[in-house]
Amino acid sequence: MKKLGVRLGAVALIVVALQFVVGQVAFRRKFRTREAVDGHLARAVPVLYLGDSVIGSFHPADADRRDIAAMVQDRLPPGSVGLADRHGYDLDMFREFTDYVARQPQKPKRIVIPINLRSFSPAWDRRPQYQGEFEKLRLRHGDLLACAWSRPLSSFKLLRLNPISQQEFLETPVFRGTARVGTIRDFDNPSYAVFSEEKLRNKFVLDYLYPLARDHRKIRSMLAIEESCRRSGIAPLFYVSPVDVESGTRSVGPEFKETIASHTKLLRELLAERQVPLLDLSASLDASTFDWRDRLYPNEHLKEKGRRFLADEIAKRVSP
Amino acid sequence: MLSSPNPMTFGSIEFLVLLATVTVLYFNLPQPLRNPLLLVASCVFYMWWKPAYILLILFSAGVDYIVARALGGTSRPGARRALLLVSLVSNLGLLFFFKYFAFACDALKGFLGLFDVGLTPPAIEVLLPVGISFYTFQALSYTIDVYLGRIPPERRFDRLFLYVMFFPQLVAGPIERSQHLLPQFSEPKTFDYERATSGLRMVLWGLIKKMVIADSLARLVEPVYNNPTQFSGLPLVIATYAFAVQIYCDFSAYSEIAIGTARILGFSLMDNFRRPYFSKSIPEFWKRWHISLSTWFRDYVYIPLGGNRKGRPRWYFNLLATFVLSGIWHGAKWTFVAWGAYHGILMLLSVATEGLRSRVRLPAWVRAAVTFHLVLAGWVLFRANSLSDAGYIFSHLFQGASLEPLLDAGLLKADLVLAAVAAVALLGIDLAERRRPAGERVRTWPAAARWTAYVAAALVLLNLSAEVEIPFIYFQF
Repeated sequence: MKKLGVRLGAVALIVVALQFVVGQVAFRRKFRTREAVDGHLARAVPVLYLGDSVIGSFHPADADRRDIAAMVQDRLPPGSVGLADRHGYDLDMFREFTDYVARQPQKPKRIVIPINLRSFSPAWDRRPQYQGEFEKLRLRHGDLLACAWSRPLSSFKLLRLNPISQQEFLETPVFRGTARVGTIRDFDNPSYAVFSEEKLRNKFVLDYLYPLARDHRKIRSMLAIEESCRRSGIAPLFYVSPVDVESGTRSVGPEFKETIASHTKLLRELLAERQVPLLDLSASLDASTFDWRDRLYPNEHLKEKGRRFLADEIAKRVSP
Repeated sequence: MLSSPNPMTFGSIEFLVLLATVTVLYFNLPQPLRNPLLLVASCVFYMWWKPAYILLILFSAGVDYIVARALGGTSRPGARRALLLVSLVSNLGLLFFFKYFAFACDALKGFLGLFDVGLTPPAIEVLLPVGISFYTFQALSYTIDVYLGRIPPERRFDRLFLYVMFFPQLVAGPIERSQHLLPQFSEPKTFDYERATSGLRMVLWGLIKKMVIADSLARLVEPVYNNPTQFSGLPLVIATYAFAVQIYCDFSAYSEIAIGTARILGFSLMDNFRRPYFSKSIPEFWKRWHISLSTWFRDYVYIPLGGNRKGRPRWYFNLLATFVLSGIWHGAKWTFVAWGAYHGILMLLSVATEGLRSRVRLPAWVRAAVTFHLVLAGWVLFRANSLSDAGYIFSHLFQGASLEPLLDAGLLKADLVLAAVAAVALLGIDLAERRRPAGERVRTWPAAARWTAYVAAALVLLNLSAEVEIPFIYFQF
């Protein structure tokens, strides 16, 4: 038995050593957002702007197609703003980045955190592709450990790289206020290749009319970001990304406007308890500034005029 | 004891720790303490999920112990029959209550509804105890064997209890026979390096089959079969082929890990699969698929019903009844009844056309392909969530060739490629095992090649296993 134990131990050691190599070769992909953050920190950029797809999207007819961070930079001294963004990023991911930044020797003075109200909806919050667990592990533990061991540990159920299966996602209940109106399967399947008012209404309901409570995990992440910033001496700027309230209200009714106002009120109150202001831009733009009409389903992507407005508002608050 | 949200599975760290601990302790303890150790390990294994459910196994083993002891003490046929009836009613009653009660109530309600008789059956919501179909059948085989005089009654209750709940095969078989397994608990065992490494090879291969192949295929099967009306044509065909490989890998993996685990500890369990998809007829398939269950039904249902000894009509009835019962054993759903009946009918047709088939001798590969596709059609009934889903799948198998719906369901092209590669690799290995099990081949390799294979297999297991936990399919039975 001793012979078997020794041989098993030897095989285990070889496997562990090789796993570090396999992890680097098979699972280490480019992590552009973290590379961007590292670059900004190395250049001692004072304002770090974290963002989702809203920051970089543009309308084909825009004369200025630059991202919002670049427009903010126009209004500030050179080298003031560094952008780290990716589509599908939200408060959960920003929390990991904030913690990552807080652990670095060189820190920015300010971090800009957009709050996309759609990211609280079940269609975003529980979407398997938006969980980013592997990226979170890389931010927390570094590439050597995360790339080598996150997959094996996940296989043996010691951690969950994919915490929500597609099936679980599709079975997630959808609420309109407090009334359950179906599951994501009922709402998320329609093809948007052909426009219809009903599909539009359903999309507004799915993405914005969810009930929001203080214990929502995105809210917990928001508060954790504030705490992390406070402890590391970074001033956060939280702002709520503009929502097409005009189209939503036209499609769903006054309930849409009221829900957006109620959600932002809750966020404002929670941050106010910690003496942190919230820049509420949720209802600040009219329908003409959004570019989603060409993509057939509503989102927060902005045309040039909307991006300029947003850049002005942010620049006012982060200028030295 | 705290309960876990899920049963302990072979692919979990808890099980590997349990196995390592039990192995080390088992061979270092004095003989009299070894069976108690296995009993404790089996209790830990079973009680990991719902501790209270161990009382059911205790009840089943307790009744069978008393009945068998009483059978040993009487030769009066009437008393012996009555005692056997007690065991049958207790074990099957337990099984019926936990597995079939709600189904039977629904069926009765539906039947009475045909005559406008309203019935509100009592609503009893119980969680199905893991492995109940397996351990009740194993316990029953003991009492029946004692009744038939094949074995003497076991004197020691702890040994019988261990026979019913020996942890490697407790929840999904192989369903052992008392003549084979029970005496092994009385034999002194010493550690054997060759036997242990052979067992470890089986465990490793079983884990790869389950965690890499079966679970990857499940990612393809589940979205389609859980929502079939969203799909038509090629996705349905792919999912059906994928399920055929998934269920084979899933279930044969469980059996291999069980056999390997037992082998490490010095026990021998019966084979459960012998490359079933290479069968050249349906009767042959049933000699190679879930062997422990098919032989159980053969020995304790089909032969007692008269087998083929009472004329053709009765023979056909016996075949059909045995297969329908086998279908029902799998689960309380009409789809399983239909699956059992389908295989029963295929068996009848095989028997009825035997003469014709022996005259028209098709090449072996054609017969194997035909048999596989007949089995494949049965898997649609087996996996579909309802008969109407199965009907939809059959009627839409050849409508459309787009893969887009599969990609829309969250699958990547890489998933499809990996699934295809895994299925082909499995086919290749099964083909290579025609003469000798792959594990035995590996044993004869030079040390360097052998170690390379072990390390590579471990790395495959670590890096290619599906990340979402898919319970063993046969856990639900």
